[in-house]
Amino acid sequence: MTPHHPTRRAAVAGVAALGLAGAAPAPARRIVSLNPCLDAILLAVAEPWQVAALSHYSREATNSSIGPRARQFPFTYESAEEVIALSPDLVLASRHSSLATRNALKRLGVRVETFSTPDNVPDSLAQVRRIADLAGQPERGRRETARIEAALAAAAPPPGARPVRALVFQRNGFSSGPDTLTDELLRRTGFRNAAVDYGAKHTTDISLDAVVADPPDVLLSGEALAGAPTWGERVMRHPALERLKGRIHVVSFPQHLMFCGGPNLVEAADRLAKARRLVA
Amino acid sequence: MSDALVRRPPAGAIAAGLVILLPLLFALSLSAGRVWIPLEAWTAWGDDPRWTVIFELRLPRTLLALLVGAALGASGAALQGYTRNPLADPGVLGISSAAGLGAVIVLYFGLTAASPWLLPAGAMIGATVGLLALLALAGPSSTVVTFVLAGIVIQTMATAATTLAVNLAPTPWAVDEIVSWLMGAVADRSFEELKLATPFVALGLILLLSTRRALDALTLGEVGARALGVNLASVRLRLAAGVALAVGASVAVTGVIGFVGLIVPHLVRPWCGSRPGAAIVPSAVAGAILLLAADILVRLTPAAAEIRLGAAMAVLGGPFFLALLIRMRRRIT
Repeated sequence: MTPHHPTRRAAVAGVAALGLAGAAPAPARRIVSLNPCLDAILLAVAEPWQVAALSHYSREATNSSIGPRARQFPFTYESAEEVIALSPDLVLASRHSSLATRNALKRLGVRVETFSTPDNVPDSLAQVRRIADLAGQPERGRRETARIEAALAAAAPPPGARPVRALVFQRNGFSSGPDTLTDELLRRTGFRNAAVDYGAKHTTDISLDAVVADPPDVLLSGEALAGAPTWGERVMRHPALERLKGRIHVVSFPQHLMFCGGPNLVEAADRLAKARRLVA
Repeated sequence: MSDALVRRPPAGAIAAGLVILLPLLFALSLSAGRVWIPLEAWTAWGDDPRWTVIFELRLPRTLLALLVGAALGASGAALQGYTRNPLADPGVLGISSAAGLGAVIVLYFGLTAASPWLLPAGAMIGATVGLLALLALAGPSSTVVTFVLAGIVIQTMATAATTLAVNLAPTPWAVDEIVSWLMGAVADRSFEELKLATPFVALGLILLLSTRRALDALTLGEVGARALGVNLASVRLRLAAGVALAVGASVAVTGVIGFVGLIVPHLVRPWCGSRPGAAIVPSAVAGAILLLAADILVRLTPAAAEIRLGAAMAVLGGPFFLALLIRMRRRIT
């Protein structure tokens, strides 16, 4: 889904209204999701019996926000034959899901709804509403977006507070650029995205040199996997950075909170608000 | 030649072996996959979704693996014959890299959202540009060496541009798409892709077959071949166009699959002697069998996302070359 422009949404709404006037499209009863971000939204807005399968990514605890709940559901490895065998009436795919698989499903007459990675909070909320509507659960969708908006409101800084410079610093210095979901989250929770100061024009790696030369107030570091500490945490053990220790706060911010939006926004807003209170 | 001295199994036995092996693999390929299909679904003729899995997903995939394997095997045999170098493969002329670059550019700019067909189109354009650059660089009166060097220049530049695209990619997902596409796969392909690739691959194979006698003559060296009346410029053109069509179309629908073109001529050489021209057809058949077998294997790997076919071929290719090296050393000492 490209960002939801009002005109486009109006057009979709118009089609839906026409559908209601004629033969109402029945809400999807067997939904397969091929993407971990969509998995999380689907579980939040649909009834468990509507979920025919989640993506295999959600079974790994380290990059999933759903946790052990995901293991209660069937899953696919994103291959068309697994999806077809489940005879779903709706498949939720990312624009980055395998192109061949999406083409194959469409050709075989399966309804595939494609979503892009949200670039801002309104986009993400629109995705939640869209999935809720597709599942025939608009009321649950409204409740979920209200929960997210409430979390964002609670995470907002006190009026007039000075923005704190923060840098998302994942493995290899991977960081969120301007005009991204994380960039907007940082602004809404009282931060200024320091990646822009280091010349990031999009989501990219920030070099350690730049960070050392002009350190941010808060480093939002990735979480260490068991036995595989991330670069973001090795930074603090780097000899050249030892003397920054007193001047910079390191806060854990797992990578799965960076892109997905949806229910993840609640946890992301919460962590960011806590991080800001550490500084201010 | 040494043909008479080398003991070979009779051609009939090999043909019989292939006649048994090919249908066997074909049937196995239709049955193998993540979803187990019971027998009654095979005759459901579209009523059962599992019938669709067999005939709309696995059948085109199987045919595509055979087609691409044949294209890669034949191209490898022709190129090893022409360059008289057992390490030449379809990648050596830079055509697969150029086709790969064309597709990578499409993925880099995220154009597949507009139409999925832009991906194979980009690869075909890349292959064409690579071919034209190759012919221009090599010039009309080049030797085998300058021709191969021109190919390596194109391969190096296309690979460098691909690496740069991964390096500068606007989003992490573009990187992911590029990398996984470059690993090559026939998963979830359809008859559409088969229809797109088949005419080009067929034309390419015809061009490659037309060089058979010239390749045999080239075992005497370029001077010797010319003395036998071989028009080397025409051979070069047919070879380059044949490889560009066959490999370019393959890359366009499956991504880059290495090693098949390299391995297969070595597999068939014990049976077709030292005449490189005679190795083209067996290499096409063996390439088809090898790639189909590898694709069945990747589908059966348990409990993980499917291994990409290109990656699997590379894993199989390494030990194969070690074995080849050991055998060659034993023969020398």
